[in-house]
Amino acid sequence: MRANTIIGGIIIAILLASVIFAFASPIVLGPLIRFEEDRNKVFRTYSLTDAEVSGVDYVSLNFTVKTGGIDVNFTDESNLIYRFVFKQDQGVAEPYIENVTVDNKLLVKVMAESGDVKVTFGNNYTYDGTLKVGLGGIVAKLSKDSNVEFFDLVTMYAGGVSVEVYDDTSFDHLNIRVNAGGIMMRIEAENLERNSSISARVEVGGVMIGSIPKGTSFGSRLRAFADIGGISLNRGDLTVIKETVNEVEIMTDNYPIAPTKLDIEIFTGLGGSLINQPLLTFPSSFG
Amino acid sequence: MRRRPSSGLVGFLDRLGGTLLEPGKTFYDILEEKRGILEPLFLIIIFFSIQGALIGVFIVRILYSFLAFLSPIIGAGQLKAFQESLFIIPIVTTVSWIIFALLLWVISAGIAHLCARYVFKGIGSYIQLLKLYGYASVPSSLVTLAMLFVSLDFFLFFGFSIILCLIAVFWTVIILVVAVERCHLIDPGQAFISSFIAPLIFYLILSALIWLIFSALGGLFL
Repeated sequence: MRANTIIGGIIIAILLASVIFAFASPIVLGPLIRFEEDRNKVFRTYSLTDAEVSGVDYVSLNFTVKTGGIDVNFTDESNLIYRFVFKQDQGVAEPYIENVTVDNKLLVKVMAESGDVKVTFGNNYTYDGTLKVGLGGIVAKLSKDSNVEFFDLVTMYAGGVSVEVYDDTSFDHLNIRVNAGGIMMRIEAENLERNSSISARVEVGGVMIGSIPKGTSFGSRLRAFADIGGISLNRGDLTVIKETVNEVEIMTDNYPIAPTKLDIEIFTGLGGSLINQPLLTFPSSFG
Repeated sequence: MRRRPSSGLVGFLDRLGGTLLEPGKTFYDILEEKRGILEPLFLIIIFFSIQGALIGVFIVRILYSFLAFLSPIIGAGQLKAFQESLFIIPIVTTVSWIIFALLLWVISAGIAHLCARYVFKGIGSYIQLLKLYGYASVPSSLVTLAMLFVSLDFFLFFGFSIILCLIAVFWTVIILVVAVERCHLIDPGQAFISSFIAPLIFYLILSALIWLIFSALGGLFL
């Protein structure tokens, strides 16, 4: 057999191997970059209850995780001030946690290099402050057990923030900021405990918001603006005040007379927003 | 000297190997046998579709690595749907790569032909050169091999794969020069200008024009 034929055969063999590889590699080899499994993780739990700190009814947070995720929940444990469960790689430094009491206020500062943290707050305290990740995500679920004055939920560089608001939640203001990535909001409440507002800002990326909430004594108004990009609005039974390619203003029909109101403002720099669109599944929790 | 033409699979393998090892002789035989355009077209589609698929799979496997981080953000159900939709990526890259390769094939052969024919007074036809340019895609099998190695272990084989790609590029240029030389019966220096320098200048001018157009369009939105 001539050398040319052998080389030709080798070329065909390379091509066949490549075809097989293209089909099999995602299944056999899996992800190109492998991250550590849970068994190599270290779980660290930090909690504080009223038995340890007395005379406090207000908690102010300054919570930063450089890379990873923060999952915020509220529970009906009335004696709980906070519980942080960190899931981190082995060898990563322990998070820095500082508690300072000033009169009736507890200042909590948390700083972690990396990892996922499940944050649980009790229902007997009022909370405010900033929860910030450099790169990663934040999930905040506000329920009837939450009593929040304001939260700044910030993704400094890239990632996402997901907010879920359920019935009888009590909060004044949520300020959500994402540099590059997305924001998802699911507001299932038919009633809120007080007038509330949410402002969401994404520099590059998108914002998705499910149904615009409405109840018998609760109405909502939403304003959205996209600098470079567009807004997709599902009008449904909403009252549309303004609708252009990059600016939308809507409200529920009972907003002007509703005793409890929710105001939402959305800004996207480069990107777009989906408003009043069905969102199929929502986050459960980290880990 | 012209060898006895081989037929069937052996002949096909002979032409593939011959393009790499003896391009002058192989191209002479191909022109003498008056082979059709289908075989080179088939080669281009096969070589570049496989490369496109490998690029797509590579992208999917990179995205797979980060799916775990998306789970808390978008939820398990949407993550599964997103994961399933990722398989559209290799299809898109495969189709795009084929279109890109076909355009490159037709345009590069066209520029080389115009230059060889009208600047250096060559005697070949465009279709003949197009056929030989199709066979010149054979060294891209080294690029495919490089992609395989990189996909197996990125950090281990990255350097080796770069070397393979560089060899493929140089080998392709040599084969293109031989193709123009054989087709138009001009000297190697003229063939090099026709097959490499002229298309290179064309693509540089084209890139500059595209860049200018996009800059102007970008300015409209600012």
